[in-house]
Amino acid sequence: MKKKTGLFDIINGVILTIVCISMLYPFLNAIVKSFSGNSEIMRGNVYLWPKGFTLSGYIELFNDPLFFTSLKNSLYIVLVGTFIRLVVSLMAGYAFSKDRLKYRKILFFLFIFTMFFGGGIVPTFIIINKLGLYDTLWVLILMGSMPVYHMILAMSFFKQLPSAVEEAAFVDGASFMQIFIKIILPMSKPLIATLTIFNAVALYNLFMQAVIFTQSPQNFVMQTYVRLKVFAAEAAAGTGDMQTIALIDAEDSGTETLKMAVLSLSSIPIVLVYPFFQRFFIKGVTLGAVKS
Amino acid sequence: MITGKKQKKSKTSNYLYSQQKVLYLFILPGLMILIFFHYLPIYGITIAFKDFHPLLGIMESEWVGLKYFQRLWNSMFFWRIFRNTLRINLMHLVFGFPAPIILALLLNEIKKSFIKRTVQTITYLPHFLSWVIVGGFVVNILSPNQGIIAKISELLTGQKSELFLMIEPKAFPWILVFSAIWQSVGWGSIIYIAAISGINPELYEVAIIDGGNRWQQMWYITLPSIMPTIFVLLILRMGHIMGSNFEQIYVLYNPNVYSTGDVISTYVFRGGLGKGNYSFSAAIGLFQSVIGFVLMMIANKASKKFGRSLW
Repeated sequence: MKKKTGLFDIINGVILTIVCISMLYPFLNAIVKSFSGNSEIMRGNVYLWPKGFTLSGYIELFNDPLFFTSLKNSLYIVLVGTFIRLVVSLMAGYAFSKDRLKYRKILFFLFIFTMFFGGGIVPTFIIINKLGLYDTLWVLILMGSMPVYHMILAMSFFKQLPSAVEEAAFVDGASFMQIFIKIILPMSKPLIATLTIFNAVALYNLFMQAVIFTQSPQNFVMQTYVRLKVFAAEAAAGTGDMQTIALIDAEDSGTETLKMAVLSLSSIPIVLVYPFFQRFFIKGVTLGAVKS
Repeated sequence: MITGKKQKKSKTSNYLYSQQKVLYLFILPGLMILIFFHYLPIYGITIAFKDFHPLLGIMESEWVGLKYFQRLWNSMFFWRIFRNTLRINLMHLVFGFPAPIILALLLNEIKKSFIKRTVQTITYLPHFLSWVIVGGFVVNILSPNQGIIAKISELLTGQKSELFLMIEPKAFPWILVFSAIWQSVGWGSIIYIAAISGINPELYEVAIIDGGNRWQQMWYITLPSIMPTIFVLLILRMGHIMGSNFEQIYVLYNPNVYSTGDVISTYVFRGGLGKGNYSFSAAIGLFQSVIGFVLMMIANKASKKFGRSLW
């Protein structure tokens, strides 16, 4: 094969360069603006390099108790929620990987059905209220804490593990629970890593449930905090967001510098770690795709 | 379907068969969560056929039959949100669906693997960000006095535009489409890149001998080879034509763009929780769930015909 750079490669290179710039620019611009003076931003002078350098956005942010409340709540939800989701989906996946499970089909259907049909916003809201979970962090942790898709991934993973090891352990007198914890889980490290990261990112990005099921500032999470700070004007315009409207009178809408500091700081944790964990995600995507 | 190869029966499996209780114990936590957070709300759908009052609760509220469905049928707002939901999803389908295919084809033509991997990593970035953050970027970029889009159009036309696209009803669906492409194009390309990597390299060698150029190789070999993957994903995607994109729209919309941007889920949220029209909103929600369910079942059946299903 001859290797020369033809017109084809040039056009392709130009297109992909534009794609990459458009992917990175919004993020870079937010960081640059977060270090720039508010008046320079408003005049439309800040694009690729900070003008009127200032740290006021970050200083204001770090002096806001609500920021730390939100951060603390998000961390709590990520830690506890990831653990619960992992335990629940791995256990159910393991049980469903056994063909000997009686009524397996009907039980499996009960799980799968929830992927396609749900009660919808209003009935769910009424039930959550009834259960006394409205405006608690627990509703954010428990809602969706049976990730059926993860359970299916776990099930297909367990199915391909060699059953000889398990059976040998049984003969040696190990209990079911011991086998699961001491033999199955150590063999499932790649699966556990993938699901852990899936859940942690999803829980950090959790927003819709927080908007619908929580209200008071002490239950703010990172995404609702970002929403309050960045979209203050929109929220005030009356999109039905009880949570933000309640707070909007107390908060002035904030400078552009502050908004950009909030955006940058809340996306940095993800931007820093995703290059390292993207391979786990890709594994999850292809796992789901190739099994037939 | 779900089962792979049947496991071989061995001597110990009789013993294993006696362990049913433990197996149920393993399913129990998940089942409890589903009962409380999925099946109880599904029971709660009955309020769509009742005059729900918060003080009476779901059980005690009075049955009213199809009252709210009749009201829905005659409601101007219902047809507007129905139309908007369909239109926005169709636009996502027509413009958003081909985007990752094109990106995968272009990526496949990069021969240096280091550059290819870098471009891939960069295009994955937005996938991991929440809609709140992506929405913040969108507002920043579209701002008439400080956004890059206004700056570029000023450089091109020489005129400073005062138009704020976020409050233009005509522009709003396009903002949704482009921001969704921005967020998911890289990630969506993974599955096509995987499909492309499975193509037999001999096909290309033959094409080169026959004098096929790069463009022809892409058009006559790569694209036809991944057609089955494209087709299955297209069918599955069509099953979501009544889907909701609640987070994206909720973050980006405002009363100025309700005429084109208000969809079923956002309307249900405002009307049901904001204004307390519980039964009416639940009826609309049920309408959407049922249609969505039927469409997804059809799509899944159809895609199974081509060898792959959702599970």
